[in-house]
Amino acid sequence: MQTHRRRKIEIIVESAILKRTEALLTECGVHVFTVLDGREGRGLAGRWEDENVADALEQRMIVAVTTAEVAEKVFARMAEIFARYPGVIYASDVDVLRAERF
Amino acid sequence: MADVFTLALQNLTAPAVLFFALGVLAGFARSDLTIPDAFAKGLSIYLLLAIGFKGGVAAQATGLTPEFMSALGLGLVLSVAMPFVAFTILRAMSSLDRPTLAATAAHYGSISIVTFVASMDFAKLAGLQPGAYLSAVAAVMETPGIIAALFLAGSAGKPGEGAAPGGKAEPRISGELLREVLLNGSVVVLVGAFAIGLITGQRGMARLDLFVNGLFAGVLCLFLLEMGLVAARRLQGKSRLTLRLAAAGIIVPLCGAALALAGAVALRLDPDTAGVMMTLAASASYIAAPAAVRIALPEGDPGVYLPLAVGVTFPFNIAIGIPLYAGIAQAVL
Repeated sequence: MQTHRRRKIEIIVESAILKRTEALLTECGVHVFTVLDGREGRGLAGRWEDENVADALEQRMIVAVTTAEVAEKVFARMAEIFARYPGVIYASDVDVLRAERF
Repeated sequence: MADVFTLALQNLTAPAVLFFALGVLAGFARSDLTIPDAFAKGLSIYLLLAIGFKGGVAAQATGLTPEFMSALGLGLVLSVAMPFVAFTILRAMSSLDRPTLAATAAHYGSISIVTFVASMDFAKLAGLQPGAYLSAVAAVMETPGIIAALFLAGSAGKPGEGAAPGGKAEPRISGELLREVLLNGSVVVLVGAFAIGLITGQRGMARLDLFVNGLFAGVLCLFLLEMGLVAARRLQGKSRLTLRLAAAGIIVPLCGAALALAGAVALRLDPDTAGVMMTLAASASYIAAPAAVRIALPEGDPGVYLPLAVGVTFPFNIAIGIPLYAGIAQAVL
């Protein structure tokens, strides 16, 4: 079966800057992504959990698959955001079936 | 006329406050009791809708009275003044950095809608009759204090500040931020429901009476149960709260209430309305302010302002503040 190599980007940010991050992805040329709610976890500042009140601090994970060139652009732009805001970004190689979708 | 102690006793034995205490106890005991996220948000929307709608209906009956305009003006002034009061007190009582001081001040500049709702419910229980237009005043007080506090953080952004190497600086007060504070969900529901109440008046109330009045006290109990859980967990979670900071979390609301009382005396507001105005000035936001502050002041430490607003000021106002302010307003005015 023919597959194609792409980059999967995973970004975790607070919901306060989710819209800004989504806009950045679109500007960089990411056409498809999915946003997932974070329920609980542990970061450098200790344990966190979704607690129903301060929405702005809830964690959101954005999963996107794109080309290596676009992924590089996304990393450069996200570095500007992470200069002020908390969050993480990482990428890995994935194989996709329909290359034209990403 | 009810004195402070009678009012305090009435408040502490009210079901809503007892449910709040139950939530706090369950939270500290690490019970597995949880109110599902979406349900809790639904409860909060219901409370805003009900209080806004009832306020609109009552405002239609009384019209734009001079008292309404006075309270609105006082609310605006308090909202802008409170961040400065909070900033000064917090700076004197702690060694917090400027962004955290300003971020915390923003929380005291805005208001806690649930504290307001609890205050209106308490007034009803105590036989007081604060102006029904106060829900409009509460809506007006949500935003200006947040903007004022951002100026305290170092005006509207300095050149180069907040920029990544090679990146461009961004102003603290951006379109994104204004959208967040002006179109905050609580403000939209509260103002929208007030307008609908104003338009439909008694005819609308006849249709929604059971919904906005019959269910209100029960829903408030459920929501305060949830808030009790949140307050306890906030205090147990990642927090940089010290005893001095916790004390500031009580002194700031008391100063806010005193400022509101002075305004109420100057404007000759009635004591029932003044009591709620004092509560509004004393309350700290934990919905609108965190959202705005995380966008505009991410350098501020949420480990300070959230435990302070949710874990100290909110419980203080619910258990002690609300009857205290009402009692003082009755005694002074």
